Parts: sequence; structure tokens; C-alpha cells
Amino acid sequence: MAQREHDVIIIGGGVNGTGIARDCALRGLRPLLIEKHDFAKGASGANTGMIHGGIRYLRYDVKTTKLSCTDSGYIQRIAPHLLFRIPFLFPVLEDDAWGALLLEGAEIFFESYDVYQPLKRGKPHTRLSKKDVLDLEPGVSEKVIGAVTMDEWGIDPFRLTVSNALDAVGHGGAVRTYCDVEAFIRDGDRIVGVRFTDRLTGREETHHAPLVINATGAWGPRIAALAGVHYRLRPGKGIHIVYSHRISNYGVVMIGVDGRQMFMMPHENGTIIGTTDDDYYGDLDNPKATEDEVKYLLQAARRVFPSIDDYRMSRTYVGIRPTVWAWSRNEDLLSREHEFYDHKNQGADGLISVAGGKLAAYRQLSEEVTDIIAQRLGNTQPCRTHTEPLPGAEEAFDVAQYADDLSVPRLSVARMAYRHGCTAKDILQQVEADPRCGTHVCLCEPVTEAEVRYTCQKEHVRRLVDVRRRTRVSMGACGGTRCLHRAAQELAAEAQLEPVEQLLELRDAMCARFVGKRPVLEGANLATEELNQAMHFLTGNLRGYFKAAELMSGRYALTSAKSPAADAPDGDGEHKDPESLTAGPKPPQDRVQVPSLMPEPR
Amino acid sequence: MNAGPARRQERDVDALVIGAGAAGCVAARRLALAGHEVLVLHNGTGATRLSSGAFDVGDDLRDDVPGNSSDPLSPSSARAGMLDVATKRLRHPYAQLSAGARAQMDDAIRFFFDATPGLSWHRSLSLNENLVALTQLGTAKRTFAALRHMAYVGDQQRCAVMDLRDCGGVNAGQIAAMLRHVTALSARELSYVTVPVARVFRGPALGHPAHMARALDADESAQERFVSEVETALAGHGDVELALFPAVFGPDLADRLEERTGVPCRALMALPPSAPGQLLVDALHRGAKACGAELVRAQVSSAEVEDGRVTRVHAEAPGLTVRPQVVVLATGRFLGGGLSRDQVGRETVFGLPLLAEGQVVGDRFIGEFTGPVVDSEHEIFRAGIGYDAQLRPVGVRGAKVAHNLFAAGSVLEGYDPARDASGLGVCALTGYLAAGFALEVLDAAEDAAA
Ligand SMILES: Cc1cc2nc3c(=O)[nH]c(=O)nc-3n(C[C@H](O)[C@H](O)[C@H](O)COP(=O)(O)OP(=O)(O)OC[C@H]3O[C@@H](n4cnc5c(N)ncnc54)[C@H](O)[C@@H]3O)c2cc1C
Ligand SMILES: Cc1cc2nc3c(=O)[nH]c(=O)nc-3n(C[C@H](O)[C@H](O)[C@H](O)COP(=O)(O)OP(=O)(O)OC[C@H]3O[C@@H](n4cnc5c(N)ncnc54)[C@H](O)[C@@H]3O)c2cc1C
Repeated sequence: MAQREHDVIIIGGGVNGTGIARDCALRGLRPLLIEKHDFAKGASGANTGMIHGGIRYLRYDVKTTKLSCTDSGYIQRIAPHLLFRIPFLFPVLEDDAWGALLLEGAEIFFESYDVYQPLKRGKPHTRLSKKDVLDLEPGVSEKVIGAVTMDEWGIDPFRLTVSNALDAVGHGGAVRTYCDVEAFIRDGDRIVGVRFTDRLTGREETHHAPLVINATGAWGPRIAALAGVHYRLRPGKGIHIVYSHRISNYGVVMIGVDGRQMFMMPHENGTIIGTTDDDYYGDLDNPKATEDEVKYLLQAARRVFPSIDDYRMSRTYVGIRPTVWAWSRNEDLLSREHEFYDHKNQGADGLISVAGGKLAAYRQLSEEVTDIIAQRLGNTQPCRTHTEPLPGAEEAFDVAQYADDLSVPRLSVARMAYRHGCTAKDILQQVEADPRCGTHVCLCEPVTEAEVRYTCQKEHVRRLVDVRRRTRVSMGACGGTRCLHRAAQELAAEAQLEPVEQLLELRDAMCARFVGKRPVLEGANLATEELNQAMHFLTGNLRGYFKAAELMSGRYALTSAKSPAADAPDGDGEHKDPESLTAGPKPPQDRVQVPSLMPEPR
Repeated sequence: MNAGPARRQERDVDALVIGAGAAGCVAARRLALAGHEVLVLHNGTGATRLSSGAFDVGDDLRDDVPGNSSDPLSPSSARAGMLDVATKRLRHPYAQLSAGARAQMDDAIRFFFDATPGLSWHRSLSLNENLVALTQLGTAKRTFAALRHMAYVGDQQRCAVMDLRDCGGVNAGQIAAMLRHVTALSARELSYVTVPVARVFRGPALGHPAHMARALDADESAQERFVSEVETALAGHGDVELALFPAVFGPDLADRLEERTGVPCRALMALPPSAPGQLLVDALHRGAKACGAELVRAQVSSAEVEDGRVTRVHAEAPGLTVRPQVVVLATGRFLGGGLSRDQVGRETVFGLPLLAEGQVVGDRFIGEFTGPVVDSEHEIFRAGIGYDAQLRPVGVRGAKVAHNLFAAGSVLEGYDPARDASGLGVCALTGYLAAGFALEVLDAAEDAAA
């Protein structure tokens, strides 16, 4: 008999994996979630962040549109603090392929979408004249002949994913980050568990459960291969460019040279433009934005919003869509964006892979998967993920009152409450105890020291890059120049890191940021990077200390073996993803004891 | 406010210096001291203002492994560092300038320190020694000189990092821990404790050392409270020999603290926004003005070159056209505003090509000019304008742009202050030399007129 430490093991800490874990936990099951990096390090943290209602399925499948809108409504109910409305303009330019005809077509199209808008608290479309458009959004090209509006919602995908994970834990689930699943445990034809390595401690562990869900997105087929089974995906790479500030009042639909639709939209405190979609078979852990992709996006944005070049780019980010291999020929499957593969017939009973999906449909997907899990395990509890609030959504929170009482700027408290909902109360308690916690670690966002501390204490942070995903530290205009060293200090204080570890955390977080900045180091962004370099490597003299820290931790040997010269130009000497460094061989000299990188999660 | 069309003012001057950072101020002062009418145009920004309070000349370009081949806590030689740079970085100004020009570094440094009236520097007597400064990141760095009230390693053993309750933006405990680590890597053992200093200001904590510096500056009685709180805190730690603070005070308050507590009180090398950087710029401006140079805030937009001579330089806000005999371009890099790269790289006033490792940056993908990781070498941060042995800017083919145009400071191609440990030293040397070359042109013109 196989042991049963957990009811189900879920591999992959994206929005789907954490969503499934939450659903399982809410139904009284004991899930274990295993994530190789951190929550939302994959596609779930690299998307457009739109909880859209599936307007594009409208062309072939009304049902899916309705479902998507309904689910979007559910997400608004369970995490209202995380959502922000984005009204969109679909401008038609005089040199658009179909010109005025396109405008008519768009109107008819959006009219049919209006039917579903109430499901997600959206407004019906309107038709705008040239003058209307230019009044509302003066930056749009003079060539505009009119526009149609539509209403969508945006979300912080990192917070959505982390909230699901936190809630799973809150209801009896277990989560492990920085654990890389390397093998399955078999009992004949049955999969009964997994073996993984904690990449920060180097320790290997084996865990058992009667069911294993492979929710590793684009990595899925690789995980399946570990069990000797297979399915196909068609991974699609998509990049976005982030601007440091709000550029437009509205989201604006833009058209690429090849006719593809893309968006320029306000997102959090900034603006993003994206996205591309290209087949991708490269390194999943380390995708990078290329010159062509950046140019393609800029060209599309310029056409509809000519002054785009006057604004400050701050970085790019890249994600790989776990797209289902091909549309099935079966009509009623035509518009399904996700598939489940039961590998029983391939000789791996107990392993189910999840392919595809959307951020906007994660809850629905999770429910469907958990239904299967529950049925297999004989659990009859109903799904509650559409009614139970996510952490922070339990009650309202009065920003102004807290801000004024504690003399913390309202904007800071408002942004904190955006991310944490009413949990912001717990964070602000620390400010009450020590007013210095109310000062800012990150001024761009802004993020207070109290929030950084809180996230280190309570949100399964194991590395500095996790703090970034949880709080948006270093995601703003300064690109980490002012805030990363401060966040590193706070993390070090909370997690009792040795200075060597703190240095490595800082370096890796700076490297991770640099990967995103590198393709768009133009204008003010380049000046900021000059400051970043001067502050850390001139005033701080950190290059030498970084190297020494790597040497002492033993990691240096590993990186330098894999990439002969970190300084070599791109190509052969490709640097490893700074976030995917694993514990290396023993230090060459034992001058400083380097214990585990971070304490074990409780 | 501004009624009517802005009228453009026209002016003739002997020398126009564009930029009032370290390089521009040194050049302006030397030109003014020689008795010429000097106008300095600047727009109020720049790297000098952000610098940390240290003055780097050169350091051996070790492979930066503390505790190994080269101990950052042991002083090195600035002169040897200059040579090291000159032999290893062939496009660095130290390598491009003649040995004779390089030999004027002693004069240039003396000149630089005179050019910062009201500031006193801690420095070795000769170029043969660098001192070891301590920074707000808890690290050590070698440099040639530091403002006297800044933290450097002396003969004290037992140090305290002062934990200012008022001041956010620093974590004294972590700075002390990092300093302990850094010290442990070295042959030189120092110990660090953290000493809490009670709050001096009412209201919310101040977000950054520079904020506290400003608040202390503005309030005499707060200064007194601050001094007495520090006194009380240190009284409980009788064995502390050196007290380290974030950069919240200038030299005067540092003196007062030391007088009252009997312990040297110094500021850690500051991170921007940097109070010491501000002190430095203010002093440089004073130094230029004291010799008769006139500083005007304006945005220089373009220049006209006719027959190999800069004839006019145009500025906006206020609208101004200058007809100079000689021009020194000291506009800095991307932070200063002298260089820009917005899909296309260029120098901003004369439109000179931006060069990196001798190649035109132009509109090539920026990724080609950066290394793969944040701390690798990045060609774009060695980028600048080309120049000849007389510091005259040259075009792509190496021909000088104008015989009366000289360049100085970080606008020059070939050096990266963050990797060559020669930031302000290069500015002092090239600012000094550029003025010298410009004086030759002015003198020749005077001779011709006479
Ligand atoms: C550019 C782009 C734009 C998008 N825009 C939108 C949008 O606007 N709206 C929308 O609804 N959807 C959007 N999507 C789709 C959506 O982001 C994804 O479908 C969704 O995030 C997939 O989530 P996931 O959990 O399945 O995969 P992922 O988020 O990729 O998660 C998989 C996880 O598995 C982990 N993993 C891999 N190997 C292992 C291992 N061996 N052991 C343990 N863990 C492992 C990975 O580290 C990763 O965290 C977009 C996607 C992209 C790429
Ligand atoms: C954070 C930081 C820390 C540093 N620490 C140190 C250190 O510890 N030691 C060290 O030696 N060096 C240090 N440096 C490097 C050093 O500060 C610079 O190399 C040096 O200040 C450059 O001086 P500069 O005169 O060439 O240019 P800048 O100081 O940048 O001055 C440029 C000037 O040009 C003006 N300007 C530019 N364009 C225009 C225009 N169009 N119109 C009008 N005016 C214009 C600006 O207003 C400014 O006055 C540091 C730099 C930074 C950023």
C-alpha cells in the first residue's frame, strides 16, 4: 500500500495550480502544491493581466463567452480589491484596411458582446466620433475616423496567484516553493507520488498522494515525460513593454503590421503595451525579449498613438503561453481553451495534466479539475471558490482613516490596500508599533517598510525576487535602483540571512530586473540605469562583494562552469536565469559557513 | 506671468563652459583665474550632485575579489591605479592622453581641492595612497579622498553604526552586519555595534537620510537636540572609538558632535539623493564664481559651427545666444544630459556621434551595447564622444569638429566610473587640461589681435 501524506499533489504554482490547490483545500482535501520557482513566475506573472470576458470566442462560441463573463464576475466577487476597470477604445484609422466598414463591423460585434457585460459589471459599448475620441484620448492619431468602446477589467496577476496559494494554506493545504519535481514515484502502473529537490537547501524529498496534477503550464510536457507519458502543446511566446507612468486614460486597441490586435493599456501605476505571439521552443526558464519583438510592438503603438516615443519605457517581460496544441476538429471543442489529459491509458494512472487556460478562466478551470479530483477521491463537497472571498476580501477597508491616523501618505495606504485588501490592517499595525516602518522602501509604487516586512513574514517569501512579485518593489520607474538594497536588508532582517546570502539575494534580484530592462534601455531609462550602476557598483563597490559572495557560497563555480564568462556577449556564454540558480557544489574554501539559503517554510 | 514673446538675448564672451558639474566647474575656474570672461550654462542636474562624497583617481583594476588577491580594506595607490587603468583600458582618457598630460594629475588634484572652497577633504599627501571609505551599503571602497566628515578607516578599532530612530531608508542593524562581514574578509579586524539614538523630530519618521539632513539644516534647535541625543546614546557605549551615521550632517555638525561626545562622528558614503553630493556641487559653484565665472541656469539646445569654429551656442529658458571665443563642453553623460540615446544615440548639443568602444552607437539595438548580467561590463556606460590629444571632440572619421571646442569630464568616451574607480579624478584632470588647451587658443587670439 502506498503512503498517503496528501490527498493530491499539484505540480506548478501558477494561477491554475494555486487555484486548484485552493479549491481542493476548500473542499476539505489536503493538497500539496510544489512550485519550482515562486508563485506566478511562469505565464501567470507575465500576461496582460486582463480578466476579459472572452470576447474573441464570440465569433464561434457564445457559450464560452457567457462562461467567461460569468467567471469574470465571480473573480470580482471574491477579490474585488484586486480588480481595476479598464475602459477600452477600439479606434479605426482612415488607413485601416476596411476603414469605415470596419467601424460598422466593430459596432455590430460589440453590440452582441453587450449582452454579457452585466455578468461582469461591464458597461455596454458606445460609438465615438472622431472628435469624441480625440477629446477623450488626445494622444490618439489624427487619422482616427471614429471608435467603439468596450469595458474590461485588469488585475494584478501576482497577487491573484499568491492569494490563492495563501488561501489554500489557510484551509489546510501545503505549499512548497523553489522545489523542482524531478521524478515520479510509481507503484506498477500507478503514480503514487513525486520526488523533488528543494533548490535552496539542496535537500531531496519524496511525497506521496494517490493523485498528481500536472499544472506546469508550458513546462507540462516535460513533467509528463518524467512519467513516460506525453501530450503536445504549442508554446507561444509573448512580450510586453512596460512604461513607467500612465500614458493614456483608456486602453487602446492597436494593430500590428501583420494585422494582429494588441493593446496599450493602463496597468497598475504604469502602462503596458503588448503582446506578441510567436511559436517558442527555446529555454522556458529564461526567455528574453528580442529586438524584433520590441520594434514590432513600438511600431504598432506608434501608428495609433504617435507620441508613444516621448514616454519612458522601463522594462519588458516575457511569458510563454501554454497553448493547447491544435484546435480539435470536433466542433464543440473548437473554442475550448483548456484540455485535461488523463494519462491512465498511457500507463500512468493517477496523473492528470492540465493544458492551456486563461488567467480569466482560472477559477473555472480549477473547479473542473477539482471536480475530477473530488470524484476520484470520493469527496462530495461542493465547490465554493466562487463565493468564498480570497484573503483580504473579507471586509471593507477605510484607506483615508488609517492613513490619517498613522501619518502614512494616503497613496501608500491605498496601494497597500489594493494589494492586500483588509489585511492592510495587520500591516499597518507594525507602523503603529514603530513609525519608521511607515517610511518607503520603494517610492515608485509606493511600498512601505511595513509591507515588505509583512510579506517576508507571512507570504511564503523565500527570496528577494519573491518580495518583488508580492509587493511590486522594483517594478516602477527606478527599476530597483532605490529599493532593492533596502528590501534586501529587510528580508535579511526577517529571515535572518547572513550577509553573504543577502548579497546573493540582492545580486539575483538586480540581475532579474536587468534582464527585463536590457532591451529597452533608452532615454530616461538609460540614465536611471547609469544611476543604478553608479549607486551599487561605484558608491557601493558591490561587484567585488558579489563575486566574493558567489565564491563563498559555492555558487560561483556553478555559474561560471555553465557560462564560461558572465561578461561574454550573448550567445554561447549565455548567463543562466538569475532566478534559477541551484545550490552549487561545496565552497572551495570554508572561510564563511553558508548554511541553507533561507529558513524552511513552516 | 510671462507676457509677450520671449526675447532672445545675445552675448559675447571669452569662454563658454557648458555644464556645471565637476569637470565644467574646474574648467571655468581655471579660465576665469586667467582673467577671461567666463559664462557657465547649466541646467541644474548631473552626476556630481549624486556622487557620494568621495573623490576617486584610480585603483588597481583587480578582479575585485575581496579577501582574496586584493583586500579592499588595505589602501592601494592612486598613481599605480592610474597606470593600471591606462594599460588595461585603452580607450580610457588616462590611456588616450599623453604621458605629459597625465603627469599633470598632481596639479589638477591640487586645483580641484582649491576649487571647492569651504569643503575640507581627508586625503593622503601624495598620489601614492588611497584611503578606505565605508559606505551606507555596509561595504568598503577605496578612494583617493573623502570629504573630511565622511567615514573612512582610520586607526579606530571599535565602531558603532548609529541607528537614528527618525530616519527611515536605512537599516542600521543590517549595515553593521554587512560591515562586520566585510571586515571579516579583511586582514584588518574592526568591530561594529549598533547604537540607537532617540528621536529628535516629532511627527512621522523622515524617509531618507537626505530628508533628515535637510530638516537638521533648517532647524538650529533640532541640531542641538540631535547632538545631545547622540551624546546620551554614546555615553552608554564608552568603548566606541568611531561613530558612523547615515549622511545626515555636514562637516560643521560633525565637528560639534565630536566635540561634545569625544568620539569622531562620520557619515557613511551616501546614496542618492546625496547630501554630500549637494555639498560638493555647491562648493564647486562657489569656487567658480569666486574667480569671476558667471553661472546661469539654462537649457543649451544647439550650436553653430562655421569654418571649423563654434560661432554661436543657443540656449532656452531663458532664450540666450552666446558668441564665444572658446567653448568647453562638460555636459556629462546620460544622467548629466550630455549624451542621449532615444532609439538613436547622440551627444545633445553639437549632435556629435555617440561612440562605444570606438564604434558608432547610432540606432543599433541597445542590447548589443550591454552585457548579459547587471554587473558585467556594459559598453553603453563607456560611451561618449571621441576626442583628440588636445581634448577636442572629433567626428566619426577622427577630424576635429572645431578648433575652439574642447570637452571634459564624463561626456568623453572610454571610461566607466563604476568600473574604473576614476570618476571625479578624470573630471578634475580633463577639466583642468581642457581649460589649459582653451587658454592657448585665447592667448593666440589675443596675440593675433595685438
Ligand atoms: C503574453 C501572455 C499574455 C496573456 N494575457 C492574458 C490575459 O490578458 N488574460 C488572461 O486571462 N490570460 C492571459 N494569458 C494566459 C494566462 O497567463 C495563462 O494561461 C495562465 O497564466 C496559465 O497558468 P498556469 O498556472 O497554467 O501556468 P504557469 O503560470 O506558467 O505556471 C506553471 C508553473 O509550473 C512551474 N513548474 C515548471 N516546472 C516545474 C517542476 N519541474 N516542478 C515544479 N514546478 C514546475 C513553473 O515554474 C510555473 O510557475 C496570457 C499569457 C501570456 C504568455
Ligand atoms: C550615484 C553616483 C555616485 C558616484 N560616486 C562617485 C565617487 O564616490 N567617487 C567618484 O570619483 N565619482 C563618483 N561618481 C562619478 C562622478 O560623480 C561623475 O563621474 C562626475 O560627477 C561627472 O561629472 P561631469 O562634470 O562630467 O558631469 P555632471 O556632473 O553630470 O555634470 C553635467 C553638467 O552638464 C549640464 N548639462 C548637460 N546638458 C546640458 C544642456 N543641454 N544644457 C545645459 N546644461 C547641461 C548639467 O546641468 C550639469 O551641470 C558618482 C556618480 C554617481 C551617479
